[in-house]
Amino acid sequence: MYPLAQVITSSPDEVELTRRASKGDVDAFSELYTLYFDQIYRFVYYRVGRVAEAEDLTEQAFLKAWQAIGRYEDRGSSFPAWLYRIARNAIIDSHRTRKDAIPLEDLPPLAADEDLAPEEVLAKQEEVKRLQTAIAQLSEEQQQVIILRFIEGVSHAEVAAIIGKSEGASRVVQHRALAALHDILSEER
Amino acid sequence: MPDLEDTLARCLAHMEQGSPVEECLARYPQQRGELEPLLRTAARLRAAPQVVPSPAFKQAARIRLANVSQANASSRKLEQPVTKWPLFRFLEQIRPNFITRRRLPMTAKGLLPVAALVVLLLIVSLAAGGGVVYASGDSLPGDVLYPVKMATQQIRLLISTGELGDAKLHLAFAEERLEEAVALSQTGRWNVVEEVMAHYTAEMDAASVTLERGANGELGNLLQASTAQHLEALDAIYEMVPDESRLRTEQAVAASWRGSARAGFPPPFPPTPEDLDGDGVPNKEDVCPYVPGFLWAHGCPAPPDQELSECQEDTDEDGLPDCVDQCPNEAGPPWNFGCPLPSDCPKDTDDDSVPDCVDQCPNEAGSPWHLGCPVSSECQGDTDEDGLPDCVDQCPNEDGPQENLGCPGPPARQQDTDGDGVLDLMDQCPNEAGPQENLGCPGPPEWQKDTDGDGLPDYMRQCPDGAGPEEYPGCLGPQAWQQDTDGDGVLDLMDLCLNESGPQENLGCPGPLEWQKDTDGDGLPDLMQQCPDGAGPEEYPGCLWLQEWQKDTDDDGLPDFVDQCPNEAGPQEKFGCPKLPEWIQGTDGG
Repeated sequence: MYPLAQVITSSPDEVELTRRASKGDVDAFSELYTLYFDQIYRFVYYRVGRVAEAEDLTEQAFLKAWQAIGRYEDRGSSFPAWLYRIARNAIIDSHRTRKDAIPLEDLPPLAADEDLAPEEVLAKQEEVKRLQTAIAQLSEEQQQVIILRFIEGVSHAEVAAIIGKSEGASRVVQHRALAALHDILSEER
Repeated sequence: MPDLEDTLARCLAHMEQGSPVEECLARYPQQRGELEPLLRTAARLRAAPQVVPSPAFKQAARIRLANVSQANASSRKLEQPVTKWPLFRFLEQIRPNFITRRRLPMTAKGLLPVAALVVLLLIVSLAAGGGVVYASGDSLPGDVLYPVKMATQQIRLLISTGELGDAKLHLAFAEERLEEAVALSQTGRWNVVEEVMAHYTAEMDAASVTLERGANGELGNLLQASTAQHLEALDAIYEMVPDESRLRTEQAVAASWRGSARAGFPPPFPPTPEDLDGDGVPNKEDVCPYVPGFLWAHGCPAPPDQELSECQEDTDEDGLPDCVDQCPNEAGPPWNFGCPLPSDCPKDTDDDSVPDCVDQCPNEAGSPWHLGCPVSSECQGDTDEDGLPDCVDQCPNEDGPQENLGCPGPPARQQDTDGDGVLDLMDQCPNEAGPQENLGCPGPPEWQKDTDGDGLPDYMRQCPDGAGPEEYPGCLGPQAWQQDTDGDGVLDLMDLCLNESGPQENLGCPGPLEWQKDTDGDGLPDLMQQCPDGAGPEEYPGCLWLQEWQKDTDDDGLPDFVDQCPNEAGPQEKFGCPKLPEWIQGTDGG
């Protein structure tokens, strides 16, 4: 029998929040929203590469989560893992219809840093753009692993739970994705 | 030599703890060539600047989600089943409140069903993609998405709780109208600027009228802070718009000022020799130079009847309408903002009507508007002895009444060139006679047009030429898309089973549609699932785990049942092993 991937363990607070949210508690869902909004947005941005679309899809993901959270209980995975999967589904749906190219001037919003000069901010935005463009050339699964592991800082066990593989298999995907990404980024030079 | 996979995992773990790439490369010199590009790529990814959603988007998204989730949560309390179309229930839920309780800023007859219509439009827009609502945020009047923006605002009003919440929203919407007016002013679309200014006035009045129902310090402070900024923006707009379009901006200024006055703050302009009553209207243009008034009422406190119907009441009969009277239930002189003077202060030494206890110059007769002190010397002469000092007398050498600014006849701003009863100042067509309701024009302005005369302007109608019940805005009867053939409450437009009754969540069909079914509730419809009854990782859609034949433990592309090394990745040509299996090598050898 195939071993089930390790389930992400949620903190007791998060479990309680999720339980309350699933009963229709808007305030509890609002707290979960605060906890995970930035993460989900970042994940979506690196997948789609457009600010407006990332905003749209992040909003859709949370709306879908709210609509389905009543059935979330006993699903065997943590709330963030569930959220990531909803976001991923929203992205896949969106990509079915998207055909136009990503405009180069669509630079991502970054965490505010008053010490940086405008040109330094621009350089950082361009670096994000380069990485995003390179990541977008990987397979869907590799993209997920790279973004979750290195951009979001999610542990191997968590990534494995989200993508539905064993930790060992997740490591193999990670290895190949890093190698492919290195090749893509090297070609750019 | 350790496996590269393991080495990479160890190095990445060390790097997570802060170790540099070089340290790991030094530890595994034999694998350096393969490791280095991987580790450097990982390090570059980890050092990527942090992408964050913009605060404005985050806030707007939270509000939109809160609106939907609150409506949805309320419906759960009624123990209704969770459906995929919460907005339908939401619409049903709000409609009763909508009709009986809420007062919209524009109270034109027939507006309510229109708002219900735009809510429906909003739902259609959402069905087309939630981004429509967000995208509409920056839209301007005339843009395709502008109706969505307005509908969204109506929804926010409908589900806000309490008068304070309503007032804050009205204030926020007034600011949006102001931003729109500023943007539109750059384009020269003056007729639209006028329309937006009228909406601003309505929103500001709706916000500030709340104060009359019970003073609220928080709202008062908000209003005061806002109006100070609004007046700056309005001033800029006023400078840009042509003379013939200034009336609405003046009304907007007055509304802003009314808001400030209702919040209990003094007029924004301190009295000066050029503006004795400090109402912002220079003496030479002020019909009532000694009494603070409205810009659009020629500087007088009582506006013309047609200008502001709600400002006709004067409960304490002290001459100041309630809308500008800070003590509307107690009589007081206008220069004290309609509030009574202290009762224990009868003495008035200089006999200037300003009691000594509030008179800053108790021994020198002066103007109450200057706290009992005399106005500047240059404004004391009155050559024609008509009661108006020369400094404000438009005709200082000719006797004339105050309403004519001291002239025998009305000044230019009070003239009525076309004799239609609408002063040129207010007349949008000063050379063509027209009634007041058309702002002095023979016919209504474009945005006011109401072809069938039922009070609902054409631009808000589905059928401008028709006249009909309010539930079919401006149409004689229901349009095709408004019909509900099977009477199930789902309009034909949305009903996928036109002749069979069914609930909204099933799009009007008796049971859920095949493509909607989501047995395990994971958001992935059964149609797309391999095991619709299971719940599991989406990699294996809807299944608890891999089907036996799908298993590929080492993810090398070869399923386990043909992989000679199911736990080690390897190419197909080596039968899924890192190196050719020994039994094959043995065969080769011999």
